[in-house]
Amino acid sequence: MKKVKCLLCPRECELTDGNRGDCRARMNIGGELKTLVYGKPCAVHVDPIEKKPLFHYLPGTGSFSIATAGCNLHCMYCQNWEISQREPENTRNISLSPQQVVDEAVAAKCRTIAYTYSEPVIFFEYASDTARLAHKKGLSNVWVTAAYINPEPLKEAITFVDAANIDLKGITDKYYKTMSRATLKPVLDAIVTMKNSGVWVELTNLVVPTYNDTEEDFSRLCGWIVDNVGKDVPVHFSRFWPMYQLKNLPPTPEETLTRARNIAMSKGVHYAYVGNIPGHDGNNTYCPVCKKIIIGRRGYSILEYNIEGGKCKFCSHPIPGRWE
Amino acid sequence: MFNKKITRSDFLKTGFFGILAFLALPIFKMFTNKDNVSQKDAKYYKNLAG
Repeated sequence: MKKVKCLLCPRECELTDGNRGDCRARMNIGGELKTLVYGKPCAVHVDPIEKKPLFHYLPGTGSFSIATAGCNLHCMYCQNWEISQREPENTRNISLSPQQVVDEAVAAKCRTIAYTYSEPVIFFEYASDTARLAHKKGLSNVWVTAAYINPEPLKEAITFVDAANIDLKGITDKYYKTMSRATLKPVLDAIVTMKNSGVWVELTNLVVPTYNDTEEDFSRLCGWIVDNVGKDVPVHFSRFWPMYQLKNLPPTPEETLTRARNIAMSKGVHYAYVGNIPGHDGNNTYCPVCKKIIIGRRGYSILEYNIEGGKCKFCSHPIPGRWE
Repeated sequence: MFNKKITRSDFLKTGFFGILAFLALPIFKMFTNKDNVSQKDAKYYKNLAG
């Protein structure tokens, strides 16, 4: 019975014949490692790119968003557990080849294809083939990921990923172990690698009451961001909603998210946002120099837009991102 | 016109066409163009985050 080892993510699952990995989407079939989700997405939608969230990348455009079943993390709060914590045979899938994904994205007038909802790492082959075809049609590729990936496949991914929203769930190994049955270091390494490779990176921190919502948590997280990827990387503090195995907790209070954003800005983060609370001041982008609103938002909608040629319309300060 | 008496045959005729229209609806639906089939079929997971 031939064993195979999956080298895609740091779990490095060793699989005997007929067994599947921790992600439920990859399997040893007759001594060969096979993906069970190629061309079989279970979610296909056109979303505003602000929903990913990406606030500095082609704002106001549609993103053709796909996901397959499975995930290599098992977060207790998973907001999409209905697809991420299931085997592909237990979700409702459709057949959609990479070429069809690209054709549909073009037909829907989207500028990007987003690999999102579950975890693009576990449908790597499908995402990779689709992304290469997308580039030929002039579309960009967006990963919404926990970045729990090994360095070798990551090196390949950055050849076709143009922008990524990376979930930085917490800043301690203990948190990653407790909440997601994972480890912190591979995630931090992946964030730095992606940033240094020219991928547009934004970070999301889902704030879970009593788990990662102390002042020290926010300070350490923002300190790491400023020291390792710089002040210009946008950070989204997102509201937790009771879900999956954490239904006993309340939603994150608005004040906690406001506090997180204030701490981020005091640490030097230029673009700190509050997510999942429409109408919060933290939905807007402010110029770090003149402090005026350069993109006014309510939730995913853009209310005002004051960027010209990648610069603040009021003081001409360059705003990092891809705007056109 | 409001004083017109509804005859038995009017009543049956209206009922017959009504039932026919009700039955025909799903048949017409079968022939509608499904060019957006993927987005339509993925409706089971429509409130996903991210």
